[in-house]
Amino acid sequence: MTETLTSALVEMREDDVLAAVRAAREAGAVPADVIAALQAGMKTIGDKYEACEYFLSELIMSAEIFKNALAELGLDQSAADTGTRGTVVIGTVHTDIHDIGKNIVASVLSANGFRVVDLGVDVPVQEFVEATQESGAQVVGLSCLLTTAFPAMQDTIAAFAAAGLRDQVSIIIGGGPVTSDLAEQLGADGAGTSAQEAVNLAAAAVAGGHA
Amino acid sequence: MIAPSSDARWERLRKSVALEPVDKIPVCLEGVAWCARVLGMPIKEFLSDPLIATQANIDSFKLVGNADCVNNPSYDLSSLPFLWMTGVKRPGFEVGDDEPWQVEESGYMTTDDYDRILEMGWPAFQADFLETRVRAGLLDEFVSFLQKGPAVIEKVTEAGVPYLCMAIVVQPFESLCGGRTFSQFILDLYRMPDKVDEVMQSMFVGLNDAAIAGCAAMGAPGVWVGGWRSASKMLAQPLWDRFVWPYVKECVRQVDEAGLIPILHFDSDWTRDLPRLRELPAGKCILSLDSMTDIRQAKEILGDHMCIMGDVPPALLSSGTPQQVYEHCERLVKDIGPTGYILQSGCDIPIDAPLANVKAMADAAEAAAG
Repeated sequence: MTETLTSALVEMREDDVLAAVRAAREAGAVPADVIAALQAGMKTIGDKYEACEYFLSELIMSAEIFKNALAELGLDQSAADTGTRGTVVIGTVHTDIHDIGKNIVASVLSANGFRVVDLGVDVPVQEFVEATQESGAQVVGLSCLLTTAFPAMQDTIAAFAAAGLRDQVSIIIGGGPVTSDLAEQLGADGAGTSAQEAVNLAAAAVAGGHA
Repeated sequence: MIAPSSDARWERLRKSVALEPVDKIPVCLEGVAWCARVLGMPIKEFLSDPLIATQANIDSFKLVGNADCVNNPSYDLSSLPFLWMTGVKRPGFEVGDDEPWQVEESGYMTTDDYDRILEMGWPAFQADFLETRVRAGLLDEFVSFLQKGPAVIEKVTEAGVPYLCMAIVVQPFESLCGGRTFSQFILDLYRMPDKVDEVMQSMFVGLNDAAIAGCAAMGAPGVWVGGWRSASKMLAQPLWDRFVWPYVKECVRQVDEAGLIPILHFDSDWTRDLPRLRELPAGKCILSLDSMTDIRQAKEILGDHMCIMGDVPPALLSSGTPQQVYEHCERLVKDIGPTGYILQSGCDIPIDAPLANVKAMADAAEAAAG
């Protein structure tokens, strides 16, 4: 079951994935084993993205298949994102309403084992801080498309310092105009230029001591 | 196309497109909202009339002083819903008078709309969709904008400001993707590829005829062939090969056949497919990059085939110092020049870029010319 399921996911064969999950469920398979097989597929897909064999479309499609496979098991996303790899608070910062990139990153993080608290768009500064305190997140993802939202990013990062939380979380920025130079300038811990890079940065942040 | 001219700036542009030696790397300003902000004009006012936007382009061009052209001499927000089949939050309406507009990412289209497009035909569907589901009045606003095209050209020409483009030609991917939202459209491409293919082929027939004919009649030099979410980095190769490239190639053929310069306005990362661009006509196109594509690879692969434009990063123009911008542009001029290159911002100049940073961009090209 495991290899069939994993390879079907890697090859984006949605119907085959769902059929394999259904068969596994009917055969009495342990849900955790099915989820592990799916997450092995997500890992391979991430590796292929890193190797420029796969692109954003595969990340999106595989995250969708993953979500539907969990539904087939009678589970929701929380079954997979129980925080096994950490918790990420994510949102598009105040004054910016763009959410396509943020949604993709949230979906891919979730499918890769992170618990994701998605605050939406145009998120007030303090809401990031409060959500982090409530969730115990180790990573905060700030997204924007507009350069005019850079000050809101900076204000949000400053709010974490003011709340005495800055040393306890990694803050990663992302979005069209974002660069690693900008991350340094704004006082963030890194810049993610793709959904997969966000996964890698979040994993590194959790492993690196903010956990 | 650009005719031989006694104006040194037009000549630089013409020669750059033709990959001929130039006395100086030309500098293009893609100002848009920045034109208003740098003049202290509220964005709402900038957008209130295409001729006011043109005047702002002219005035900001003169403020910089040593640029060679503007990219688009005017602007109107009604064009965005036609391009992306979605709404826009407008200054003075949904956002403050002096705030930037923001394209909604709401997903107005459903999968049922694919059949409606096939039944109604694209023009009728688009008109009905925009009026009834996005915002009533859009059609009138867009027609009014188009009608002012000749006056825009007259104004910018009288002011002695060279310009590159007056319209955008559309590949079906961008419109459908904008209407569905990127993620949903990707799922459609995997789940119902034949249906999407049928819709694209149907809507592409005659899709850009009016824009191309209009630009040719007005004597505009070029037309944008736009690519945003259809970039290589966004799509698996088989999807890009099937749903993007044939349409881009045909758009370029149509624009070139009309004697206009195809300006490949390619945002995001197209690096993977740069070699494919060699299939486009040599010495005819401008490849405009936004700093996400590797411009040095573009030069290596396409330098003897098409003019490259760009790609000063928006974040640098917005948040860097003039010295940082100058040094970055010096490197660009050195690496992407000396022929077949136009120095420009990566996509639009950000609204909050200081004038000193834009001047630094233009100064770097001038200094390199000696």
